[in-house]
This record gives sequence, C-alpha cells and structure tokens, in this order.
Amino acid sequence: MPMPKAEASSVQQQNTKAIEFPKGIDEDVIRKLWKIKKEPDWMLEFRLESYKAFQAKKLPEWGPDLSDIDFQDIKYYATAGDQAHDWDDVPEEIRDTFEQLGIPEHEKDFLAGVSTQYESEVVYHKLQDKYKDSGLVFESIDDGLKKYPKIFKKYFSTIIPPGDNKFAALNSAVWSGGSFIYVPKGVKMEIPVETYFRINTESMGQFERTLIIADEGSEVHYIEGCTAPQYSTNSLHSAVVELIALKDSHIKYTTIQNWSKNVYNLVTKRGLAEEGARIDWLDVNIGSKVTMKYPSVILKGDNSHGEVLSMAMADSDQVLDTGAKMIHLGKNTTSIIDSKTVSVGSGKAIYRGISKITKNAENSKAVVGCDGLLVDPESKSYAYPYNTVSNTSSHLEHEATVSKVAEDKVNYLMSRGLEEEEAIQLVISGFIDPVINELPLEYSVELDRLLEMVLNREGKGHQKKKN
Amino acid sequence: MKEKDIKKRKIKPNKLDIVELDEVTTIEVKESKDFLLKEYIVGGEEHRVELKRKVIFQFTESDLTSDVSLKIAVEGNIDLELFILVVTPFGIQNIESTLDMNAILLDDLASITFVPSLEIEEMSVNVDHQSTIGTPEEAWIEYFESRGYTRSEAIKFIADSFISDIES
Repeated sequence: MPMPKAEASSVQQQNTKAIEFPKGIDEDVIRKLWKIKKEPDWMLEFRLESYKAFQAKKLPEWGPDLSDIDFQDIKYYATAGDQAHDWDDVPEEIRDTFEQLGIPEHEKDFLAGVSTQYESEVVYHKLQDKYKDSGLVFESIDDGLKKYPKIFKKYFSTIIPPGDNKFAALNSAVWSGGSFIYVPKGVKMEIPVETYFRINTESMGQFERTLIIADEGSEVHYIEGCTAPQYSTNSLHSAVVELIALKDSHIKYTTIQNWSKNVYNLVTKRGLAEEGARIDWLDVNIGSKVTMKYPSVILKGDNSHGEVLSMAMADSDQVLDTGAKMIHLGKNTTSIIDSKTVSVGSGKAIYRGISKITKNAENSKAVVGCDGLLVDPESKSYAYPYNTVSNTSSHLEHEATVSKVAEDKVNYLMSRGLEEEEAIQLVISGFIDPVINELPLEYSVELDRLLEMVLNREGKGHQKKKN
Repeated sequence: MKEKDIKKRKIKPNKLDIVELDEVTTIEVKESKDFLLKEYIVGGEEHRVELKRKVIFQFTESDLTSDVSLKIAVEGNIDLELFILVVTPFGIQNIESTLDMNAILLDDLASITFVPSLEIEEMSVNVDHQSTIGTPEEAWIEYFESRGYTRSEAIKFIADSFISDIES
C-alpha cells in the first residue's frame, strides 16, 4: 500500500470555545455534532444510519444488567477548546489533571507520541519529530479523517460495522476523539505511543474511536489509559477500536482501564490479522461500575497469530465481564488467550470468550486459559468459554481454575515476617504476574500501587474468618 | 433431519454415575460422587443437524468432592454444542471439583463446541476444568491400517478406545 500523504497539510484550528451539549440524543444532536466537526457529507450519512441501527437494536440479553442506563440522561459532547501541541497551551485546569497522572513525564521519558483526550475532544497531541520523519502518522482521529480521507475511508468501520451491536452503533453515531495511526511499510516503532482519556463532566458519555493500520512488515505498540472522578450519576464510555495488521506486521495494544465506579464501560475492540501478521491485546481492567469488553482477533491470513492477555479485578459493587475472542479463518493460525480475574469484596468477575477454529482453518491451534481468584467470602467468579473446532487437522486446549488465596502460601509468607495483608497482596501479585510482566515498567509499578489500594480499602485484603 | 435419526452408539457403563445427554439436564450433587458422560454421536449423511445439550451440576451440600468426565466422539453432518455448567452457590462450602471434557472429531463434516462453564459464589471452593478438542492421531490410523483395518474401521476403533479409556 503506498504511504498516505496528508491531503491537508494542517487542520485549521476552529477556535472552538468550550461547548457542552445538554443531555439526550436525537438526530439533531448528531447533525449538530457533525457540523461542529466540519466533517464530509458521507460521515453525516454514516452517523445517521448508525443512529437508526442503535435505535433498532436491543440491549444484550446476556451479561450484566444494563437496564439502568438512560440514554437520554447522558451528555453526548463536551469540549474545553482547541487541540494544543504544546503543554503550555493546554488550559490550566486540564493540564493539572494530566500532570497529576504523570502524562508529561511519560511523554518526555518513554513515549514516541502522546495524545490526551478530555471529555469528547483531544486537547493535546504530539509526535516526536524523529518519528514524523519515518512517515508514521499519529493523529487525533478527527484530524485523521480530514488529513488522510482516502485511507481513512478505506478502513474506517470495516472491522466493526455499526450493526455489530447496540453500543458499536451508538459509537458510530456520536463518535468523537480517539486516535488514527498509520505505520508505513517496514517501520518498526521501538517505543510506544500513548493516549490518555479523561471524563470530567457529570453524566458524560465518551465515545472515542481508534483506528490503527500497520502496513506490511511494520510494528507498533499503542497504550491507552483512562480515568474519571466519582459522581453519583452514571457516565457511559462506549469506544470502538479497530486494528488492521497487514502482511507480516505486528500491533500490540495495551489498555489500563481505571474508570470510577459510576462509569458503564461498554467497548468493542477487534483486530484483523492478514497473512503472517500478529495482534496482541494486553487488557487490564480495574475500574468502572460495569465493564463489558472482549478484545478480538480475526485470524484471516494464513500463518497469522493472535494473543489476548487479560486481567480484571472486580471490587465491591463492580461487575467486570471481560474476555476475548479468537476466530481462526486462515490456515496454520494460532492463538493464545490467558485471562486472570480477581474478585474482591462483593465484586463479580466474569470471563466470557470464544475460540473458534473454522472449517477452512486447517492445521490451526488455540490455547485458552482462564483463572479466577476469590479474595473474600462474598466474592464471585464466573466463566463461560465457548470453544469450537470444525476440522480434523486442528487442536484446541482449554484449562481453568477458580480458587481462593491459598492459606498455605499466606502462612508461609507470614512465617517470613510479612503481615497478613502484605502476604495476601503478594500472592495476588504472583497470580497476575504474567500480566504485570508484559506492561512497561512504569505501568507495572502503577498497577501494583493500584492493587494495594484496592485490597487495603476498608481492610478487604483480609481473609475474613468464618464462624 | 430429526434428532431421532441421529445414531448414538452407547458404551457399557461402569460403576460411575452415567449421565444421559438430554436437551437440558440438571443434576443436584448431594454427596461426593464422580460423573461420567460419554457419547459417540454420528450425524446425518445428507442433512446437517444442530444438536445442543446442556448439563448443570449444582452442588447442594458442602464438603464434597466430585469429578465430571466427558468423552465425546463425533462424526457426520452435525454441529454439536455441549454446555456443561458447574455451580457452587453462596453458602455451599469446601467443594473440590474437576471438570474434564475431551472430544475427538472423526471427519471434516462434524463440528463441536464445548462450553465448560463455572459459576462460583463461595470462596472455599477449588474447581478446575480442562478441555481438549482434537482428532485421532494419524500415526495411530496408519498403524491400524498396517494391521489390515480400513481407514474407517481404524478411526472407529480409536474412537471407541478413546471413550472406553475413561472406564479403566
């Protein structure tokens, strides 16, 4: 594929003032959004058709209870102003928020590029100059649409069409913000690019859209993180992520999700791997009120490979319904799913997955592991793995365990001088170690810290004695 | 094609509790016991059949151990979905259980879906499950062919052994 050239050398700043839509969604909201963004006509048609699909589709009849979501009680767009390319130009209150999260330091020290999204729009975006020279395209998705319309339209919504599910349809109707990345042939990014999402307004919906295209032989690692303050009303995060890995390319996508406990986190993530390509999802879920997320890989090309390494820690009053899907279409395809769930307090952690080897996926292999750890008497763990094989030359293996924190391990560590809470935390850290090991160092340290906070909150790190 | 046209070759039961695969079967586990499900299912020759079976093992007493073993051999025009659910509700304590599901596909017409599911609501529970879906080893087929069996006979012999193996 020829390297895309920007068809607009820069996007004219719109001098956008702070805007906040009132609550509710209808066609007028979508037209207003389209107008603010100054998008091409085809995008309006796409958005309106998607809205029709959203209205027609029902909520899923499986999984957590979503009946509390009032789609008319959500704000579908808010922005604090134009995008900046220098931290000093970001509005102070927004800058403070991200500085507390350590984003500027990460950018300086670890990252090839950073994008930060505040409510519905990207407020800061920068790619290091040396990576611009390589031809790497890393734009906010709104800019991607305007600067690279041909390649954008070629791939946009091809992996996740609006009719895929109700929340993909909603995102397709009201999407705003997100990242657009194109990695040219043969370009291998040694360090990652990152986007950080923040919902700050009460009753806000965030509907970012990410599209990553890795051309033949290229490699890219993308990291996203997200937070929000705690409110008493619900917020909704419904993102769509599409990855296209062309021949012999490699995309690694890491998510560290720490939404507050009033956020419904309902996300559709899917990648398409062509011949010899590889897609890795590393998915860490700690926050949110309800999460439904199943990163997927369609192994379309022969000899392609997909991996999902997933961790979910469900604290009290949380339902984290996570997992993965691997669909083997090509020959000699392989996949690995490794899921770790931890249930704390009355938290409910659910693994839900599909590994499907189709008739034509000859000589393919799938390995699935889903392990659950229960920390408290009130904790719950569920697993629903669907494993399908439709040809005689392929093989699928699955194993899973559900257990509590082993008393003998805790006793051993306490005999070595650790307090009980420290011992339990160490055992849990060991349980999720395969996930932590895959994170960049600064994120694994942060995850350990978050783990400690969750477990020590109200003494939930203790194994309560039963009468 | 109707389900009654599907042929099932039953293997002789042993001292284990043999579970029949009905559309939905719920088994209340009240004492320590092992369970065995084994089927050799032959689908249609001309018309494709969808066969869905669900078995729920619900523990109703505490302090039990139970192993559930399943062996299925499948051939012919059939899409088989087998949903096995192990449930330990809140209050049912000290359960040790293993769910072991294994299937072999005997030809490229058949398709099998395993759903080895768990619903665990009590922390003093240790449950493992494992499943494999594969096919008869080509080396074994060639061995039996070298001993005068046809390919079809060799595959059926291996399938019978695969299922019977659980009884020894």
